[in-house]
Amino acid sequence: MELGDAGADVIKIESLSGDCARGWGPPQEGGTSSVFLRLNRNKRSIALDLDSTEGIAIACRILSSADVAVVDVNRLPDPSFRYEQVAESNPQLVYCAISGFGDRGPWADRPSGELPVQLMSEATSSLGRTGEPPVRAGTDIASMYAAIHGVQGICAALLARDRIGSGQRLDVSLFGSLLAMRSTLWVALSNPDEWWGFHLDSYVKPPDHGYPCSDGRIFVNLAGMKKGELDSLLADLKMDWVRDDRQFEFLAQESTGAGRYAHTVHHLWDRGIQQFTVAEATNIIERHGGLVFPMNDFKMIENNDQVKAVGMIRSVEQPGAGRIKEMIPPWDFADTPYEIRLPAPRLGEHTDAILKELGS
Amino acid sequence: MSGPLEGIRVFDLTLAMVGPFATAQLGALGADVIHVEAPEEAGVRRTTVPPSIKGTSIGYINWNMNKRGILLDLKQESDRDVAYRLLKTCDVFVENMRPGVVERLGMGYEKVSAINPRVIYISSSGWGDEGPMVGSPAADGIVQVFGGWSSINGPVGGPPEVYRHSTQNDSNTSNYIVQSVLLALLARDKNGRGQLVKTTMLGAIIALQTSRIAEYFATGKTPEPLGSADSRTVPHQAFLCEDKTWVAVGVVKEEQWQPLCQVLQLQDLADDARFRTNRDRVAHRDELVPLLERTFATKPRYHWVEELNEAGVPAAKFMEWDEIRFHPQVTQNDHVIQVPTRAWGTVYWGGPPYHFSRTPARVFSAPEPGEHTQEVLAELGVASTSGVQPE
Amino acid sequence: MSGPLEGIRVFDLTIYMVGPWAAVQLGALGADVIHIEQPNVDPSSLSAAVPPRINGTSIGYITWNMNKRGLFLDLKAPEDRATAYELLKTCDVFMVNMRTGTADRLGLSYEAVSAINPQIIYCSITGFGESGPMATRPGADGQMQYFSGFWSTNGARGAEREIYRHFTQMDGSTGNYAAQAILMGLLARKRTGKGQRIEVSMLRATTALQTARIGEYLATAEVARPLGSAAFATAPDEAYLCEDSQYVGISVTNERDWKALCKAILREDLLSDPRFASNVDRVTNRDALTAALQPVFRDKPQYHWMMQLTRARVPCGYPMRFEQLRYHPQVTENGYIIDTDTSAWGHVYTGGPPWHFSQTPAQWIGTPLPGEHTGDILDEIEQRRSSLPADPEPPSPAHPEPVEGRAGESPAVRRV
Repeated sequence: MELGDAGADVIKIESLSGDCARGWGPPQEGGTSSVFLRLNRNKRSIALDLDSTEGIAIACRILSSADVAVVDVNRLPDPSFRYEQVAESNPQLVYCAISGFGDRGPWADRPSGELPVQLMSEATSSLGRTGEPPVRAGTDIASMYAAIHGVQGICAALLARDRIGSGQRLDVSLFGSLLAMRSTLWVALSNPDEWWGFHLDSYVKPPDHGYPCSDGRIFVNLAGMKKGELDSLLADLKMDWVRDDRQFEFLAQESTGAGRYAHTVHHLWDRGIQQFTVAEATNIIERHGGLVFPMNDFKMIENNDQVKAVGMIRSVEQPGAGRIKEMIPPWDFADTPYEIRLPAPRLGEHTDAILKELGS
Repeated sequence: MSGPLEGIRVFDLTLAMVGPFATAQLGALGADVIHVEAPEEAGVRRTTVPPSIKGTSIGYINWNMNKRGILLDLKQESDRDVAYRLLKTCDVFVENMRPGVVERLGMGYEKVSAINPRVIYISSSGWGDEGPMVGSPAADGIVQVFGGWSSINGPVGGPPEVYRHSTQNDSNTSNYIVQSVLLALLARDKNGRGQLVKTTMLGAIIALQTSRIAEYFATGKTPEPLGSADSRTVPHQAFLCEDKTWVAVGVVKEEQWQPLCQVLQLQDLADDARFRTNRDRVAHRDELVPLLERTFATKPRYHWVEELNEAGVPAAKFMEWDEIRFHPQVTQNDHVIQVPTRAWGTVYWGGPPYHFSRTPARVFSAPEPGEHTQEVLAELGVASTSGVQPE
Repeated sequence: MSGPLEGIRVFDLTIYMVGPWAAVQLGALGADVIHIEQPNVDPSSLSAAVPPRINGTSIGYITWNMNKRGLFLDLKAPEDRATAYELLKTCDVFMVNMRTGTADRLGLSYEAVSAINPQIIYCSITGFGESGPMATRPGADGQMQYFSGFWSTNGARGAEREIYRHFTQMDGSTGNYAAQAILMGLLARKRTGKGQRIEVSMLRATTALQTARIGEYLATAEVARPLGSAAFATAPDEAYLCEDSQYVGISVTNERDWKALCKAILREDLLSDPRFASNVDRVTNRDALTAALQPVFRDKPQYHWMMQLTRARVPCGYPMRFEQLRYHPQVTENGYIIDTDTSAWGHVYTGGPPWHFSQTPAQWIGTPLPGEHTGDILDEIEQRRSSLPADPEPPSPAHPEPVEGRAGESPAVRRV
C-alpha cells in the first residue's frame, strides 16, 4: 500500500476466494474488515483462479511486465511464481519475497504469523510479567516492520537497477525485521560496563501502566527536576504521608518514568497523583521542573488539536461502506505529494480492465 | 584414523538400555559391535518406550548407535551354530538378560568360554545373581529408590524425589560395563585369557554415590534433600535474580569466598567470623543463605554471571535444550552431534565425551533390525540362517 | 558487489535515535553516510549517556551510528560551515532531526541547502509536524508511545494497559519511515531531475505503524481493551498454557488454517460448530473459543504442539530469549543477529541487515568514534575543490552519469 500511496500502480492479485484479510474482524465496514480497508487503498484488484493454468498464466503475464513484485513466498500458489522463473521473462523485475522467518535456515519454509514471530523474537519479553501468560504488542509490529523494510529494499533495488542493469531478488522476513528493531538490546547485552540501564531494565521491570489521575493516565519524568524541588513537589502533591514510608529514600533518585527505581516506588507516586486530574497534576509537576506526558487512547488522539491541525485523519468514500475514516501516509513530499486515488478495491474489481490492458 | 578399539569385535546380546548403551560406546570407540536380536523381539522392541520416530522407539535408536544389526533365533539350533561361529571371531560378549535366560539360549559363560577362551564375557543384571532379590525386576526408577539415590534429591525439608529423567542409572551402569570390558581387555593382554565379569545396577548406583555414603559413614547422619544446595560446601546453590531467573553459584574453594563478597558488595559478610571458612559457613548455613538471597534478588542474572566469573567465582545460568544444542561451546566440542540415519532422519546424540588425538571415536546410525544379517553371514561364510529375514 | 545505494552520499546531521537510525539503514544499503558531531565531543556524553554503556559510551550511540563515517564540524564557526557547504555539493541526501529552527540558525535551511545543491533530498524529521499547536515540541520515544496510543493496545486480559518497555520502537519506526521517504525521494529525482524537501514526523510515523488498530477504532468509535496475547481481528490467535507450564502461541488467520488446526488438535467437531464457522464468528465468540481450546492445549506439552501444528502448517511459536536466539541457525544463517567489531567498544552483537539482496548485498559496519574520519573527508573535499573549475551553476541533471567512487578515494559529483 505504501508503494500505492507513493503513486505506483499496484495490482493486487487475489485468488477467487480473495485475500483472507477481507474476512478479518469485526469490525467490518460494508462486509469487509476495517483492517483490510485501511491496508489496501491505492490498489487495483484482479481475481484469478490460481489453481488453473489459465489463471496462473495471466498472473505470470502481469509479473512479466511489472517493475516490482511483492510475494508471500511461504504461500506461493504455484512454482511458476518463483523468482528464477519470473526473472527469466522479466530480468528488470525487483522481486520482494516476504517470508515468516527468513529465506535460509531450518525455518525457511515454516508457516508464520504475527504472534508466533513476536514470541520467537523475544518481543513479548517487553510486556507482561515472568511466570504469567505472554502479552503481545497490540500493534502488529512484526508484520509492519517487515513491510517497511520491504518498501525500503524495493526502493533501493529500483535505484540500483540502472546502475547494475537488472532487477534482483530481495528477501525480508517478519522475524528478521523484528530482531533488527531490537538491535539496541543486542548491543546492550554485549559486555556492558554495568548490567542495568534504561534498555536492560526492560527485562527486569514489571508492567508499567503510567500514573493514574482521576480522569486519565499520565507519564511523569522528574529526571530534569532541580535538586531541592522534591520537597515542595511532594508538598504540592499532598504527599506528606510518604515520609513515613520506608522506601522514601528512593524518591530522590530516578524514581519516576523510566528511572531505575521507578517500579520500586510507583505505588507511592500513584497514591499521590490519583488525587488530581490530568490538568492539575500536569500543572503541579511541570511547575517544579518535571515533564508530564498525557497517555492517549485513539479516541483522545482523534480529538487532539495537533492531530486535527495536521489533518491526519480524513474521511473517504468507500464503495459498499459509505464514508469511512482513515489516516494519511506518514511522509510529506513538497514537490511530489502523495495522492489517495483509489479506495480499497472489491475482490476482482479491476479484473476486466487489467485483462484488457494485458491485451487478452 | 580409527578408534582405539579398532580390531575388537563385540557379540552384543543385550536389551533395553543398560547393555545396548554400553556396547554403543564400545562401537564409538571403534569396536565392531554386532547386535544380535531375536526376530520377534526386534519387532516388539521397536515400539516400546515412546516417543518414536517413524514407528521406532527413540530408545532403540539412541542406544544402538555405532553397531551392525543381525537377526538370529537362538532357540533354533542352526542359528545357534551361526552364533557360535560368530563367537569364535569375537573378543567380547555382553548380555543383560534375566538370570537363567542366556543359559537356556545356549549362550551361558560355560558354553561361550569353551568355544572361545579369549572372550571377555560381561553379564549385567539389576541386583546380581545371589541374594534375596535375585530375579526381582530391576529398572531405573526402582534401582534409584532402592539405592538411596532418590533419598537425597528434593526440596529443602523433603520429601525425597525421583530423578525424572529415568536413564541416569541405566547409563551409569553402562559406563561401568564399558570400564569392565576395557580393563578385562588389558588383563587379557597380560595373561592371554578372557574371563567372566559381573556388573549390577545396584552396585553401579552405590559406587556413583561414594562421596555421599562417605558422609554418612563419617557422621552417622542420613543426608537430607537440600534443594539445589550442596551438603559440603556453602554457598553452592541456585539464587533467584531480579529478573526472576536463577543463577547457580558455587564457592567450592576457600579463595572464592572473598571475591564473592566483593561482587555482592557485602564486605561485612566477608569479615564476619561466622562465615570465615567453609566449615563455618556450613555450620551457619541457615544464617548466611538468606542474606545472600536478598542481595542476589537486586540485580539481573546477566550481571551476576558476568561479574562472578570475572572474579573467579563459578556462576552459571540454567540452560535449556534450545540454548545448549546450538551453543558454540557444545557444538565446537561436539558434545551434541547430529547423526544422519536412513530410516529416521537426522537425530541428535550426546557426542563421545572423550577426544583422542590419534585414534578418534566415531559415531554412525543405529541399524535397522537385521540390517546387516546377510553381510555378517557372508563374512562368516554361511549361506543363510533358519529362514529368518529382516523385517 | 556493493549495496544498492552505492554512490549515494548522506549528510547526517541527526541526534539521539530517530534520525541516526534512519541513516543507519541508508548506510547499510551502501550509501556513504557522513555523521556530523561537534568537535571534541566527549564520547561518554553522547546519546545523553543513557546506560548501559560500553567503555563509558552509551550503547545508544553505538547502536544508532553504525554504517557511517564520522566528521567533526562546528556549524556555528564560519570555516566549518563553509566546509559543510562544500561537502553538501557532493551529497544526495541531507538529514536533520533537531528542534524547529535550529537547522535554519545554522545556515542549513532547505532554502540554503537547495541553493547549493538543488538535487539534494532534504529530509526533516520532527516530533509533531511543522504546523499546529505542537509544531515546535520535540518528540522522544517514550513520549510518542504515550501520545500515539501505542501503549494503549497492550495489556493482560482484564488488567490495565501497559507500556512497551523497550523504548526504541517509536524512534526506530519513525527512522524507518524517514529512510523509506528518502529512498522514494531519490526515485522521484530520477524522474524530475531535482531534489525536494521531505518531512516526516514521529506523530504520523508512529500512528501509521498502528494503521490496523486505529482503523478498528475509526470504524467503531470504540476504544478496544487489549486481550493479553489475543489478536483483535482474528481468532484463534493467542497463546495457550501447555501441560508443562510452557506456552504455545498460534495464529489462525484464514479458513484453511482453521481446518488444519482442528484436525491437528483432534477436534474436527469444532468445524461444525456454528459459533466458529467464519473468522468473524470466531472473533465474536472468542471467549467460547478460548474456553474450548484451552483444555486441549493444557493436556500436552509445548513441544508436542509445536511439532503437531508445524507439521499441519498452522503458524505457531513459543517465547524465546536472546540466549536461545543468538546461536540458533535460523538467526545465524540469515545473519539476523551478528557480531560486529567497533572502533572503541570491542565486538558487539547487533541486529543484522533485515534485507537480503541477490545482486547488491547490504553491509553492516561497526560504529566509528565521533569525527573519526574527519581527516579523510576534509582531504576529499580539498581535492575536489582544487580539481574542479569554479562553477557557480549547479551541474546539469539532464544526463546524469553515475560515477563509482569509494570513501577515501578521489571524489566526484555523485549522481544516481
